[in-house]
Amino acid sequence: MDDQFLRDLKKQPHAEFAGRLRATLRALPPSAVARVAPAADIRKWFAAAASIAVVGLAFTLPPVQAAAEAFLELFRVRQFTGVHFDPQRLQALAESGLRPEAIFGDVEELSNVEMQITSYATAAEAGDAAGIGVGVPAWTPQGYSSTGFMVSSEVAKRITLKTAGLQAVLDTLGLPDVELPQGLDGQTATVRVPPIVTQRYVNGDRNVLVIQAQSPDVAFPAGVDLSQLAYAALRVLGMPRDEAYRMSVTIDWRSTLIVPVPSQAVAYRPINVAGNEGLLIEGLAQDEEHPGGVLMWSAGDQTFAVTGPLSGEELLEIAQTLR
Amino acid sequence: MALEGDMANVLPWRMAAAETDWDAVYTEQLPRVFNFFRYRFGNDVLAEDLTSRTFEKAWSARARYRRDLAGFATWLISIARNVAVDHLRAQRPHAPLEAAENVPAKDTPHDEVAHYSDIERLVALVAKLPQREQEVLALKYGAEATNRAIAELTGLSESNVGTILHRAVQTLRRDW
Repeated sequence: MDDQFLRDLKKQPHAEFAGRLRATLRALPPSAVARVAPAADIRKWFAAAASIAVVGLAFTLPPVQAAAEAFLELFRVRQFTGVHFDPQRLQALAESGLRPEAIFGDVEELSNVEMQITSYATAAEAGDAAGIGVGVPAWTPQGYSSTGFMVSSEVAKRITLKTAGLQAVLDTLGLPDVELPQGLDGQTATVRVPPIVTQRYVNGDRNVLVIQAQSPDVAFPAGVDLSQLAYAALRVLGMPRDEAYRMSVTIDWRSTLIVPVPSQAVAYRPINVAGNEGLLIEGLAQDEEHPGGVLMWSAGDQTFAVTGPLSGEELLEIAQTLR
Repeated sequence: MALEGDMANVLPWRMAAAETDWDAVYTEQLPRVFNFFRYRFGNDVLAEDLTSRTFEKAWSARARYRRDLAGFATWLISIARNVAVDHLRAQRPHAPLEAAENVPAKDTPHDEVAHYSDIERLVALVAKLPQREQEVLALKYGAEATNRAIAELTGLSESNVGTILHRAVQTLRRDW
């Protein structure tokens, strides 16, 4: 097969590029993944459900979390898609002096009591408390045993949006191409996060969590341009202008949860879980024997996640055997 | 009960020491990843950008391959494939493949021909092939992957990879 014409087109990368990238890689903190990995706190995946992309702030800046939860939980989760975010952007915000709690607006707790966590011995009891049928995996990795179920109580919040804080974020990051939707200021959104059931499997100091909940539902003002809002969020996370635009106009933001993935994370990919499309993030831990990962998916009106120091295949096996 | 605290212990993130000469690995692998993207997209600037993304993703976790450098090369290309898919997904709505047909052939007596490099012309031709063939070509001639490695990466059989390559090269040679 004469394929020399194909081979002849190869070329070496420019030395300047090779040197620059090498320097960038050397500058990466050796513990980069370990440092960002705890952001995989799974409660936040749920708490931030539907929080388009600013949820990245919640991962990096804990004080922002409450506000981030409330602001962009604008829809029900039906699908997941990963987006790499640039931690340097968030670092810039952290150093800007902006008050994270003031970014999104005024948050009002609608629940009469603070969120409670209650332990249950069986799936049936936990399911009764949460109002859902709780699935239990028929398979778990060898050595893991169940320690029971935890159910968090429902949380509801109302937020009155103030765009001044968001605009300050855009100004801080130098994003003149981003415009916030007209008429957003002063609007209110109501967020309801139903009870979340978490079952834990333990093997020594290693934990595997299986998490299940009804999708959060969010009532938000009609007429809000979600694609415009999404574009702003994606740009805040560090996505290039063209890419952010294309993504913002091609995704159904009423049903798709963007999951910010630290840029140092190894890989994420869509994955089929028993006929439902999910998202698998792998390589969160630099441990050859116990790699860390998160698998998220939705089925019906419920959202699920499995996480632990396991391979993607093991996470998928747990997910597919939920009964 | 503090769920936050419990969750914080979910994953025992641990670092592994790396004793490998990663500079040498970088020098060896960089051209493969870079050319994979060049053969995929025909644009050096874009190839540099995607190459950077690939290495930055892989680099922090490279320690896991300290005992399996052959595995590292395959793993690196698998990350590059994901990066390419992400890029294609982002481009798709605004960059129809049909646009590639507007790139003039090498012997077209048109002034603009000089603006297109050989690699751009190749990618324009490759763009007319099925996506699977496009990727297999980039893996073979850009990333210098063996047919066996391509089979492992794509899930195709090794013989199927050979067949795809043969057919694709014949097509490209005809139009080159």
